[in-house]
Amino acid sequence: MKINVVTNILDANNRIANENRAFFDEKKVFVINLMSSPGAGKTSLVEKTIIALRQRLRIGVIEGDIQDSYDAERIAQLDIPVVQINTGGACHLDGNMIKETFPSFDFDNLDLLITENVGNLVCPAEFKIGENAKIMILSTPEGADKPAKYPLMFAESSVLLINKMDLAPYVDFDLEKARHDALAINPKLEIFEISCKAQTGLDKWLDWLTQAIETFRKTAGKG
Amino acid sequence: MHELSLIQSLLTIIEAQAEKEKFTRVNQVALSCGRLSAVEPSALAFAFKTLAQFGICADAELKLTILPMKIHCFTCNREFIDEDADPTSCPHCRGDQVVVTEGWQELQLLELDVD
Ligand SMILES: Nc1nc2c(ncn2[C@@H]2O[C@H](COP(=O)(O)OP(=O)(O)O)[C@@H](O)[C@H]2O)c(=O)[nH]1
Ligand SMILES: [Mg+2]
Ligand SMILES: [Zn+2]
Repeated sequence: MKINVVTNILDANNRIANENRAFFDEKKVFVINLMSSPGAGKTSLVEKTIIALRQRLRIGVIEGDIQDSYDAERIAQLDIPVVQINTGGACHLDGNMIKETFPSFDFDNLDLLITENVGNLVCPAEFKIGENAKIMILSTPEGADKPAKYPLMFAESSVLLINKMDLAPYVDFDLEKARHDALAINPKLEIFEISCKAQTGLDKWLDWLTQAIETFRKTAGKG
Repeated sequence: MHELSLIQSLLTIIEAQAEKEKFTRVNQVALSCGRLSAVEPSALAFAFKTLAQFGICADAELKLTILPMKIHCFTCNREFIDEDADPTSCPHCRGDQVVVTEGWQELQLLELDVD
């Protein structure tokens, strides 16, 4: 006997992610889901973003990167509320893991929640967590062939940060190819070239982020 | 790597169906996903074999249909369906003014063959 049961396998996760999102909306907290390969510069970007915006915004961080157990400590040194998620070896964060951190934050006193996903260019792209925007980092030593090889994350993201631009000349990074391929996959992608080390290009990213938060607050009813 | 969690969700869905529809044995599980989704077919098959071995899906065959990706080429102004091409250039004219229009479909359970 054949039975027709068309069901999205990710429905259970999507449902929890949507609940998270409704909760964040109610609390007027803008949430970003930061994804990249291990070592591309996620924690560095989180640090730079906190340092630049902490006077204007109340920021919290979720650390999901199992590659580097010092990440949460790095953020805690900045005196910012941070929760480390132990994914138990899982290759991605999912909606439920995010939900479990809720008791650890005071969301009434938070404007921006930055979630550093597990260092992995594949799996995190498939699991929504309730974010407003997915932000991905590609670092120049990884090479410009990554959009063509791992298209899903490029398709899902709102912003692509090309980090370690200071190293681009030494690693023969083909910036034009990276830009071209990423845009073929996702024409709406915003691309910014940055170096967390040399502190270049970060202004454009920070402008994008503050603008996105402002727009979010208007639409979420906080003026 | 996340194929294990996908299969876990799948088995939960099937078990709920089994209770509702009163079947005790699954012969075939038909799934589909887009070519560009992050599902690795061999990892999915392995996860299924491992996790399904003691339940009602123990003898079930997993049938995965991969939906093609579609590329629109602005040079030849046509839409291409191609299963193997690099999604960033036109598989026909090699033009690089292209945009991927389809192929991201998430993993779906389509049909169960049961007794
Ligand atoms: N040269 C260079 N190194 C960087 C840059 N950004 C980060 N790094 C270094 O790359 C390594 C990994 O960075 P980290 O932020 O921990 O990456 P994560 O694993 O994605 O969180 C660290 O040694 C950083 O100092 C950059 O813009 N240029
Ligand atoms: Mg990190
Ligand atoms: Zn063409």
